[in-house]
Amino acid sequence: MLQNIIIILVIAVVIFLLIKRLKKGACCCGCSKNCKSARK
Amino acid sequence: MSESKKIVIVLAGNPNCGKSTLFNALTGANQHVGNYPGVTVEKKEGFKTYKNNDIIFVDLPGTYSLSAYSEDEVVARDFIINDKPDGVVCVVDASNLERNLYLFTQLAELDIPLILALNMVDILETKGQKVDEQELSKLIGIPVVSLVGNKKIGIDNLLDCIVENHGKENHASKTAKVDYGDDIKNEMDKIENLTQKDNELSKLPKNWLSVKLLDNDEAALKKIQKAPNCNEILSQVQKSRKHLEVHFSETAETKIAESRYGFANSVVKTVVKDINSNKTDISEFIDKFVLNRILGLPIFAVVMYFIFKFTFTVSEPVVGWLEAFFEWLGAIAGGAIPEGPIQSLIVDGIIGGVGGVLGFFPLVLFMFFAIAFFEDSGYMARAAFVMDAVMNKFGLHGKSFLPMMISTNGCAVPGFMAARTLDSKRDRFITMFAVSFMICGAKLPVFSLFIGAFFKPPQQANVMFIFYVLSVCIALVAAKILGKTILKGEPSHFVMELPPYHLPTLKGLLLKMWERGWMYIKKAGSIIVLISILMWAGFTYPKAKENPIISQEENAAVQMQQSFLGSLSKALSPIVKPIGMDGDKAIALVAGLVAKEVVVSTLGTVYSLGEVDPENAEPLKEKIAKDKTWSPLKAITFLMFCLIYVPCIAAVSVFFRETGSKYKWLALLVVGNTIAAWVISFIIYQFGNFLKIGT
Repeated sequence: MLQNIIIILVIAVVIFLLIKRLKKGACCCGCSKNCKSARK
Repeated sequence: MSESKKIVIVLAGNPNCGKSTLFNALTGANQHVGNYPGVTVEKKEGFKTYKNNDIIFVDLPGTYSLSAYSEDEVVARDFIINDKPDGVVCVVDASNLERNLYLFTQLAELDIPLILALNMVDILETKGQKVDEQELSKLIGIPVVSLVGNKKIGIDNLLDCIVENHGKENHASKTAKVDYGDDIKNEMDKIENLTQKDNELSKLPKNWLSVKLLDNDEAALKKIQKAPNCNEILSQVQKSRKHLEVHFSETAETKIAESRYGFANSVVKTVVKDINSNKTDISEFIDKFVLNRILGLPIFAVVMYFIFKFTFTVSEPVVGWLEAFFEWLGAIAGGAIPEGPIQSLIVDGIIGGVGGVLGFFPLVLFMFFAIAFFEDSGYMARAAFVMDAVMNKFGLHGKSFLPMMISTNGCAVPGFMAARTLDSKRDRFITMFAVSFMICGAKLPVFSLFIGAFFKPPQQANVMFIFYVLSVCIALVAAKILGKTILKGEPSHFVMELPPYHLPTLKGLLLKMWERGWMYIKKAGSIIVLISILMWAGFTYPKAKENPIISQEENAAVQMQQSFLGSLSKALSPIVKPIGMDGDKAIALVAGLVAKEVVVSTLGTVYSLGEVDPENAEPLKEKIAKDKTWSPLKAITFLMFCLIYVPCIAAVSVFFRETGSKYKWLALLVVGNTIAAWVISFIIYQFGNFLKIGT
């Protein structure tokens, strides 16, 4: 039961972080400098 | 005491050729500034007494030509023609000789005494070149003086030259003759025959007037208006222009300008010599082969093959060590954490998923190292030059090669942004579509995984190279189709400076390699971990009831089938079956939309979840190789789909922004690429199945 609660919490955090990350833009591509300039 | 002579000298030259600096050096404080009568163009005059001669210098406005395009040009030309100075010093920037000589060709036609002042010879020397002064003087038939105006070097030589040549007929009109070709010359003769009939017009330089009339020069046309045979001349000019246009399929102006530049170019080729050319010689020597029409492309192919061979050969043992490390880590975690969802999350989700991606870290590092070597050595600029001809055949621009290389070298995102360097919208858009087909750093682990699973080490680099060539071919064909349909037009011209070759420094290469490698680790530690956890959850929930009659392995398979992603996989099956894929493999491709490495991590999670004993795990590629649902043909079809289908979300969002946030281009990329991927995969799979190749 406890393990399932932990899993639910982990998945909620993951979804939150993923949305935040994808909203931020194209920085997951390994070219952060260019991405920053592209967002300007 | 002898009476001093008065000499009027005009200084003419291009803007920024150092004419005003020279004027100041010649005249010092003895200047006055006014305006030319009737216009606001500044008129600068200065005085110098030299060896008993009073020299008046007139600094004309800087102009690139003597056409009637601007007030400055008209003033400069009229002053020379109407005021008839004793001589003109044509000041040229020696480091930009060809462009500066264009003005000289027009001054020569004015039939006036000329001296050529070669300014800024020091800058030319720093480029390892010098002008053969005597040869130049012989070639154009007038005195030539080298000088450095801002350092006052050669000023006295110029003054001596002016004094010595005063009163001499140093006209360049006969010696420095531009060869306009027989057709233009014939038309010029016809016009000259008519202009010479008028007294006033016959006083003007005849060659100059006929060329200017053919050139449709407004000021020249005004000059003939007062002539009694004006209509006759005008009609001849119209006839001649029309004849030349029909004959050359170009305007007379263009042909005349071309001839002048041709003259300037041939002079530069004859008189500019290399003095300190060790470096240039080596570069030139290598370029003889590298840029050779026949050898250029094969050399480029060999370089790319070498990059893949080096990458696979050197990284193979290191990749093996890392894979062994993640197996060991999975086994340790499996033993340490009590059985349950948390153990499964860590072992199957995180270690199985992220470990699969990080296992290829050495391969990515060595690939970046090899590409950085050729980039830093100056070769990649040559590769773009060599590819220009091929690119043009497919309606792409030579410059398009660089964004494509950037994508191969790392990521499609900077590749899309690098397309900004292309001037026309058409070239830019076509290039961006071409970039989307390249094998980026994120697709590399996917290719390495399947090539590693189905091909033996000596063949691996060859297969990777074939896929690389295929990606370029697909990009070129897509460009051709786009160029012929929705993005019609001609690619614009390509001008590119080729840097000299040099040996890259180890420090520089290691830094570049680490910079890109670190990004890969960061990506694995962030977005790939997150997606791996979600994929694990998608395949683990909702929990299916365990059936005690069937084996543990079968229970794991049932669990995956009944999970959220299992249902999605069932829905996708009919679409991907014709291309030889199961639904769960299609799920990996869908997950790969977030980042292409996720294709590997998802497969890692799927295979890890199917495993019964986590303590006896084996590398992902071995699991795939042993899996009977795969075959070499299915692997190749899978990779072809992965190569062509829509890029990751990050790249798509940048593409959308770079194409002006227009939904039609976005739709073309997302839908077009995916349909193309399906069709090509379908053809390969069905054809391979029919011929029983790799089944």
